[in-house]
Amino acid sequence: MTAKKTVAFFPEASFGAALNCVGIAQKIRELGHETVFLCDAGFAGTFEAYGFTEYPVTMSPDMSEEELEKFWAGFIARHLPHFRLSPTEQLSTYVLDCWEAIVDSVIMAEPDLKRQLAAIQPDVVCVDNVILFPAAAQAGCPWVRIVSCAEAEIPDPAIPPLMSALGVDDHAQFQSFAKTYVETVEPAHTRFNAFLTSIGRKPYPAGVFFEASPDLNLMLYADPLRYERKSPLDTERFLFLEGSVRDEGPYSPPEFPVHNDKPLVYLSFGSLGAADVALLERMIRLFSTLPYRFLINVGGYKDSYRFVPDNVQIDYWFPQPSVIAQSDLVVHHGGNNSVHEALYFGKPAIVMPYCWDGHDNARRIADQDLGIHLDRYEWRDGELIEAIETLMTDKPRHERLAVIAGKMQAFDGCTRAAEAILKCAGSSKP
Amino acid sequence: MVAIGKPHTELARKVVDYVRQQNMQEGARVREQPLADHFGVSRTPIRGALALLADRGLLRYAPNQGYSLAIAPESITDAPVKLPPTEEEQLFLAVVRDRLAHRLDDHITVTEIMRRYASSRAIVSRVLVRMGEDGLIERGDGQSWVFGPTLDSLSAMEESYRFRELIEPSAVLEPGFRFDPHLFSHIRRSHQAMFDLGIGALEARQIYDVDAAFHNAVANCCGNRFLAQAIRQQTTLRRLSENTGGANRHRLLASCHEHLTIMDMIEAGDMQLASDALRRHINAAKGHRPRVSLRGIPPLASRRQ
Repeated sequence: MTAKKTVAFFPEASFGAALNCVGIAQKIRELGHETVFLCDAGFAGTFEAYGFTEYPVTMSPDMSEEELEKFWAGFIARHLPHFRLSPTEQLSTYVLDCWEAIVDSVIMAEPDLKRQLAAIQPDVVCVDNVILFPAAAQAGCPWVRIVSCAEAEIPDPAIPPLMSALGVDDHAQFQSFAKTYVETVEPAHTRFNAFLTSIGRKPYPAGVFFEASPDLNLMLYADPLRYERKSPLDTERFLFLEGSVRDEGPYSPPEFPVHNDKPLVYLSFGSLGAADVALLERMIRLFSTLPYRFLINVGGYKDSYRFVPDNVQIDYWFPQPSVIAQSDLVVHHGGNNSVHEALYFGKPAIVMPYCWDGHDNARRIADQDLGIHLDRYEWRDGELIEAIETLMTDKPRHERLAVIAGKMQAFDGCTRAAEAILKCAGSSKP
Repeated sequence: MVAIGKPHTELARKVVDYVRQQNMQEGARVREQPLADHFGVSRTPIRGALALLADRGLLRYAPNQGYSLAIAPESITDAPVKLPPTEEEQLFLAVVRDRLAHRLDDHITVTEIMRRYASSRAIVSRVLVRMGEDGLIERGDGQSWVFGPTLDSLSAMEESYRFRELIEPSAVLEPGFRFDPHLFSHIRRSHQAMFDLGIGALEARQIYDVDAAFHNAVANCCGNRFLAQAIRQQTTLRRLSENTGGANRHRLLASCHEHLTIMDMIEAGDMQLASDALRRHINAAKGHRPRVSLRGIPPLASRRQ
C-alpha cells in the first residue's frame, strides 16, 4: 500500500451531498487511508454515525432548540407555496433567498474552515458544494470538486441551464432563462464577489459561484443521463462516476398488516420535501386504496401523521440505498442521490420535483424514458395511479434499467472516485 | 392486576438466557423450582417452557430425573434456539407494530382489537395485561385502554434519550452496584459473535438483542430496584421501536464497541469513568440526527430580512 493519506471531505450540509461523500469516504477508508469530515455544527453526528471523525465548522448562527423550531416553522410557511411555482418564478421567490444564505455561510465559515484545515493538514480536500469556500481551495494541498448536483453545474452551451427544467431541444429558451437567473441572483452574487475580492481572490463572472478544480472534478451523472457537450470535458480533470452509492448494510422491509406479497414502493422527497405534510397525506390517502406496500420517508414530521393505512409504513429515516435495492418502484423529488440510487439498482422512478436541480433531473429522466415526470401538485388520482401501474408493468423498461444497473454496479463509482482522489492526494502540493 | 401466565416461548427464551448466564455445563440439571423462584412464576409455565426447549433439542428429559442441558452453552450462543411465536406473541407484536406505525388511535377497546386482529377475547385480554406490565398501555375509562408513551416520534425519542442520560450513568454510580462476571462474560461473547459475523451478514435484530442485553445488565447490576425498573422499561420501549424504525447500522455497531469499553471500565472498578462513558454513549446515539440542511435553511438571510 502507498503511504497513508489524510483525505478531508467538506460536503454541503444537505443529505444528498453528505451521503454521496460518505459512499466515497467508505471506500477510501477500506483502502487504509485516514478520512475526516468538516461540517456545520448543526450537521454534526451524520458522519460520526458512519464511523468518521468530524471537525465542526461554524457556518450558521448558533440557535437554541426553540429558535431553530421557530425558524423552521417560519421558513416552511414562507417557502412551501413557492414550491408550486415554475422554475423561473422560483428564482426570485426561493433561489435568491438560498443563495443569500449560502453566501453568508461561506463568509462565516472562512476563518473556522481555515483553522480546522490547518489542524488536519490533509493531503487532499474534497468539496461537494455549489459554491467556492476559498479556504478549502487554499489549504496547501490539491482539492477535488465533487459535483453531486445535476451535470449542468458544469455549464456548457449545449446543456440546459441549471434549475431551468428545460430539455436539450429547448435551445431557444436557454439564453432567456440564464439571463433571468443572472439578474435575479445578482444581489447575492455581488456580495460574494466583494468577499472574494476582500480576501485577495479574483471575482467570478455574473451568475457564477464556483469553478472547476484545477486538480480533479468528480461528476456523479450516469451515462444514460449525460448530455452531449459542445465543449467536451478534459478527461484528465473530469471523471464521471456513474453514481456513487454508499453501503448501508442489509435491510429487511417491515411486516405490514396487509399486502405482504405485493410490490414495494419507496417514496422520499428529501428532508425539505417532507415538510409538505398535506401533500403526503393526500398521497397516503390514495395509496391506501392500492394493492401495493409503501415505505414513506416523512423526515422530521412523523408526529404529524395519524391513522396511517395498513399498507403504508412511515418513518423519519430509511437506509435509502438498501431500501431502494428491494423496492419495485421509487417516487422521489429528483435529488441527484435518489436519481442515481434508483438507476444503480435498476428501479423505475416517478419524479416529482419542487426546487433546484430536481427540476432538471426530472426532465432528464423523462426525456431519456427512464421514468415519469409528474408535477408535484397538479395531478389527479387517476394520473398517479396510472404512472405507478405503467412503471410496475413495463417489462421492456425494466429490462433496459437492469442493463443500466449492471453497468453502473460494474463501474463501481465509489471505488473509482476513491482511487482518483488518492492519486490526486499523491500529487505534489501547490 | 391479575397475574397471567406469559407464553411458554417467551419464558423459554428467558430460560435460555439464564442457562447461558449461569454458564451451566452440558448434562447439568435444569430444575423447575429454582427457575420458578427466579422468574417469579409457578412451576406450570416453567414446565411448559422446559418441554418446549426439550422439543428443540436444547434440553434432555429423563423420567424421574427431570431436565438436563443437552448441549454445551457455547453451542447455544453459536446457534440461537428458534422458537415459534405463539398467537399471543404474534398479537402483541402486531399491536405494538401498528401503534408505532401510527395505525392505532390513542384509545382502543378489547372489541376493536378482537375485530381488527381476529383474535379471541381471552388472548386479547392477556396481551393487554402483558402490554400493561411493559408500560405500553393502561386502563382508560370504561372499556377503553390508553396507550402510554412509546418511541413513535422524534420528539419522544429525544425525551427518551434525555431521560436515559439521567438514569443510566447514575445507575453505574449506585453504592449497591455489583459487577456480575458471568453476565458480563456472556454479553462480551454475544458482542464478539456479532462482530465476527460482520456488518453485511448481520440481521438488525441481532444488534438490537446485544444492545438490550448490555443496558439490561446495567439495570441488573445497579442494586437500585427503581432505577433498574426504569432502565428496563426504556430498553423494552427501544427494543420494540427498533423492530420497525430506521436506524443507521454503522452507528449501531460503533455503539456496541462502546459497550465493551464501558464494561472494561466497570470491571476495572473505574465507575466514574464508566458513568461518563455511558453518558457519552447515549449522547452519541442522540446526536446523530442533523439539525440543518443548507440549501433548505437560510437562517442568516431570513434574519437579515
